[in-house]
Amino acid sequence: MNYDYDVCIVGSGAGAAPIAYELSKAGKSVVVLEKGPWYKTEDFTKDELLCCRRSVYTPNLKDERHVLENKNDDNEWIGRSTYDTGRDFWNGNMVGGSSNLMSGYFHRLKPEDFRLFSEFGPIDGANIVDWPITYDDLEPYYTKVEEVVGVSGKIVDHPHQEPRSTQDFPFQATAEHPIVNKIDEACRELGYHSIPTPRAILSKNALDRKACSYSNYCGSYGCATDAKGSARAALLNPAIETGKCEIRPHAMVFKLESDESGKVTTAKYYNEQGKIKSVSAKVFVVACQASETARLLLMSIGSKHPNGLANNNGQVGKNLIYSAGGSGSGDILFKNYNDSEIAQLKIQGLFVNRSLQDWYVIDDRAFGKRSKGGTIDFLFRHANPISRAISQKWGPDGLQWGKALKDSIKSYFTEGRHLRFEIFNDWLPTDDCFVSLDPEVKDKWGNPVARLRLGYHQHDLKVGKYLANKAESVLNKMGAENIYSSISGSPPPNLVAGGCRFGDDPATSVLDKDCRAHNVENLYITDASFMPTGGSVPYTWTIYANSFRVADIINSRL
Amino acid sequence: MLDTNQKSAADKFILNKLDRRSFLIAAGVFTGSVSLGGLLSYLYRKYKIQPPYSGSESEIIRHFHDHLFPKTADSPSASEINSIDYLQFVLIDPEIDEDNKSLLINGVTWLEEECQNEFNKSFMNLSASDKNRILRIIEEANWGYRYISLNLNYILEALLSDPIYGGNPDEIGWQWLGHTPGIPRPTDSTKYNSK
Repeated sequence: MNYDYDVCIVGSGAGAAPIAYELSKAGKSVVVLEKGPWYKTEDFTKDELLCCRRSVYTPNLKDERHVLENKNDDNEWIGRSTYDTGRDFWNGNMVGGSSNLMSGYFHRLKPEDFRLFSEFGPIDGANIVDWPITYDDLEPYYTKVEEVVGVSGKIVDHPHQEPRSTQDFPFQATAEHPIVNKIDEACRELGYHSIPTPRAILSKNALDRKACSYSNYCGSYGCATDAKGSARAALLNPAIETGKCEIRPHAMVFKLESDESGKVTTAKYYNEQGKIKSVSAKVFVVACQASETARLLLMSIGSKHPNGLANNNGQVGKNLIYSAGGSGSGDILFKNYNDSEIAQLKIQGLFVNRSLQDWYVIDDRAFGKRSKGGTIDFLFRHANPISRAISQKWGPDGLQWGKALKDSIKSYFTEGRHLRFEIFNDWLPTDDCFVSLDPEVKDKWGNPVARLRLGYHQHDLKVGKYLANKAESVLNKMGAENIYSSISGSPPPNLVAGGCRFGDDPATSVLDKDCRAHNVENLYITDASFMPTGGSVPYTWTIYANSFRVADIINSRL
Repeated sequence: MLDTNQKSAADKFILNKLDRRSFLIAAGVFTGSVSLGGLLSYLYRKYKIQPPYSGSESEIIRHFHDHLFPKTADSPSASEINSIDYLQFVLIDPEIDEDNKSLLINGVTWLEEECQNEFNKSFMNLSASDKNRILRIIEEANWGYRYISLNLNYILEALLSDPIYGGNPDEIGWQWLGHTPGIPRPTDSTKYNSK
């Protein structure tokens, strides 16, 4: 049989690009179908209006939306469209996906994350399982990401440093803001081990990309130098140069057709003009972010897949997870510092590369039994001026305006720096967090939208609050004022995983340990969908690493 | 003045009314040498279409915006950051939610009705304390809260967005707050709705 391509990849982000990179370099023909547009490096500016105040990098909600289910006061799950609520659940709708817009806080998982059930035991109401692979299986690929995508940092000894096959990062850490000295000093006094946060950002020209320009606008923005290790800059651009990889933007895949044997034969998609097109390939890889990946499989009914592709055991969409935790902040007010210190604090653009992983495992009687903990990252509040000013429109008695508003804005912008922290801990998989197809709401092409039930486990909040207290103690020791934190079960849309978990038992998983669908011989899923538990760090590095691992597996069969 | 090519772009914009693609082209007409207000007035005049606000409505909004964001010794007023022209730029953007646009257009009428009912005067003729009073009254209603909140959002966008969008003239907003913009800044070929 003739095929259009060896490999067809749906999606172009961190889960997709390593496949395109490795297989095109190996001489295989690859096509990448991406729903969003194809922005080039020169398109990316530091324009808050475009980046963050309008739906440019995400679909317009009137065209494409989600239905989100949350519990009401009567304990009933109520679904509401994001178009009606304005709560946007999209991110990174473009070639390279949301990796274009990440901050690039890169932490590896740790060995315990691969055996959460064995290490910490069951928790009532949570579907915790061990992974079918170990940290040792993934370690070479974490190293590969450091070298190919580009991870900068510095290894320092600390109680939860994961094993490494190399001594240090291939790229030295990005330049740091002087406030890290105050964070380090506070942590030393508290007996904590502050560590440099590894970043997927090049500190020097390398890999045919330019070094970071320290523009002060990193997260949520596309990178204007390609220093950020986006899937587009780091992997798709080199893949295209092989002449074996074709990218098709504005290609919204709505069905994977399968034959009588159950194999996928064709990807059907709408092009920019709304016309239906199709592509055939030997192998199909789906990586369009967890909820959309599950949605595509559920929409792809075939004679061997009456409940949706790879869903004969009803597992597709189940055990969706997010990153649990939350954030907090404290004000570093200039009035408490001398002129020289104020000048240092006012420096813009340099990074606050500091994290704490002292409580990656919590072994504290006050907390309870030995438990999985998480990571604390420190950062300045985003530089976006409009959003910072708008945050001041609420006063003590409702909206504020006039002199009160102007005084608040002036004070917020000029009297100090706002040091934030973010907490990352496991969002335990439960029966109350999953993706299905909405029975009524359609997208602009007439296909059912993803309906997301967004339940969380109370244990997630307990861990998050424990970590937030530790982070607050650092800010307190630094002399910050107005310290607060917010830990909730509200899921961050950009930190989503699960829904097609991998495992050895087809009855309880969608994929085998190679990330191939149990009952679809030529279908692989390589975004974060495969993760049965999420670990307590941002997912991107692990997505990249696993996708490189699966690329080797696919390459060996072609 | 607008040159021939610019008029051609404007023609396309109007002929297609608020068609997105044409808006993108028309928005590209507006450069640093032509004010946003000037472009809008030109389009309304040439094609004899109604601007979103009548003259008197614009005047009420000017008083409303300058009350929300008044001039102080070290900071500009809403008028000085071109907030009304900026609001009209928002109103012709097909990407902006239609419900919000309707509220921005109708809200001025409803605000004025509330002023007539409460004080038998136009908002423009109220004292500062009565302006605060009427805004606190409408804030209690869902529409009023949203109306004030939306206008604050767009005033602050006019204050702090790149001057290429018509607000923040001469970077007056950034200077007030000591804000340093990121590099690269948007150009006519990379700004919002340029493609």
